[in-house]
Amino acid sequence: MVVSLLKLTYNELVEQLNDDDRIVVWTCNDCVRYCGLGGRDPLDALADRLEADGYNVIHRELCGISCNRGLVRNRQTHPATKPIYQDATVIIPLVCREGLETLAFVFKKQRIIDTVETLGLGVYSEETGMRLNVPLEETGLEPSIDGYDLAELAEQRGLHTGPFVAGQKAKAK
Amino acid sequence: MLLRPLERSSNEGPELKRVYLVPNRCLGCEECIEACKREHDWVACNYIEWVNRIYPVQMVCNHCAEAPCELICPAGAIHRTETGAVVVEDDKCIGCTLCNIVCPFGIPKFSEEDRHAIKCDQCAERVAAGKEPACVEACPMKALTFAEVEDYEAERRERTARRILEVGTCLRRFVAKKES
Repeated sequence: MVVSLLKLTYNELVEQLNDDDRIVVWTCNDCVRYCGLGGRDPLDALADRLEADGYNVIHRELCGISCNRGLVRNRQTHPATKPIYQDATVIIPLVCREGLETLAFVFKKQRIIDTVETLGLGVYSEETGMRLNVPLEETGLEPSIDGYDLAELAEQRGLHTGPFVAGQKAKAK
Repeated sequence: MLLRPLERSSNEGPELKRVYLVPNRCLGCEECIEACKREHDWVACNYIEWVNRIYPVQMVCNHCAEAPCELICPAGAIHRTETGAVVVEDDKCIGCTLCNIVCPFGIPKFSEEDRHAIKCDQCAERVAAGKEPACVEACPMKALTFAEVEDYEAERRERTARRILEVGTCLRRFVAKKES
């Protein structure tokens, strides 16, 4: 699975929003769910918090696999969601880098906020949660069978383990 | 349990296509649920159940040949359509939740807002138009199949036969190598 961490805190995220933005909160429901950044609970938590803080969240989107261009494009063209995306001005994605690029490719008129950094490939288990095993070259880390702990990596690199809004139960430990 | 006698014998009904799951293909990505929502005014009629928090199983109405929900509905609100799907008529439903009680899969849900039962209609409009149900079309892993039971069984036999052949071929190579 793809291992990602958050670049921003919630406060840094809202600094990038305008009061009149019509926001779609988007989550992938695959790898980022196991990383603890995305999935249904973090999606709802973030959208609820934004609404409580006075932002105009017009839609909450859960996309099964957000790096699949067909699935993303389906949201853009489906009669039920097409008007929503025509109206939206900004998308807050809880997805990996690949998903983010797919969103940027499909939704050219909306602002896509860059929220995540992808570090490589990892393995999830119930005992250890998600661990990074095959880092990307630019991380400077060696591949490891035991894997790297995400919390330690986040601390070393100035990143954040998810979800955006604390207190939510995420899949990953 | 007292059941209403069925007016129609299920054997005389139309050939029923059902949604079948290939469990080891399912990622639990919930794309089927989202597709169902988009198709049905943002109310999903299917579920993903996580077994041991690891294994996802998509649960959807099986449109049973002798559907307990159809048999028990005191208002006659649940009936079988021409395509073979077991559906709820919203106008007739009195919200007694008996269908929830008797369904062995726990599929029907009660809408507090509309005060009636909600269940899968197998995307009646889409199927009538010659399309697959939304959940089947949306599944990125092709874990869902919309087929008649004979076709599904034949497909499974073929798939398994192919695997047996593959394993058999591998074994023959392995044995031949050992013997040589």
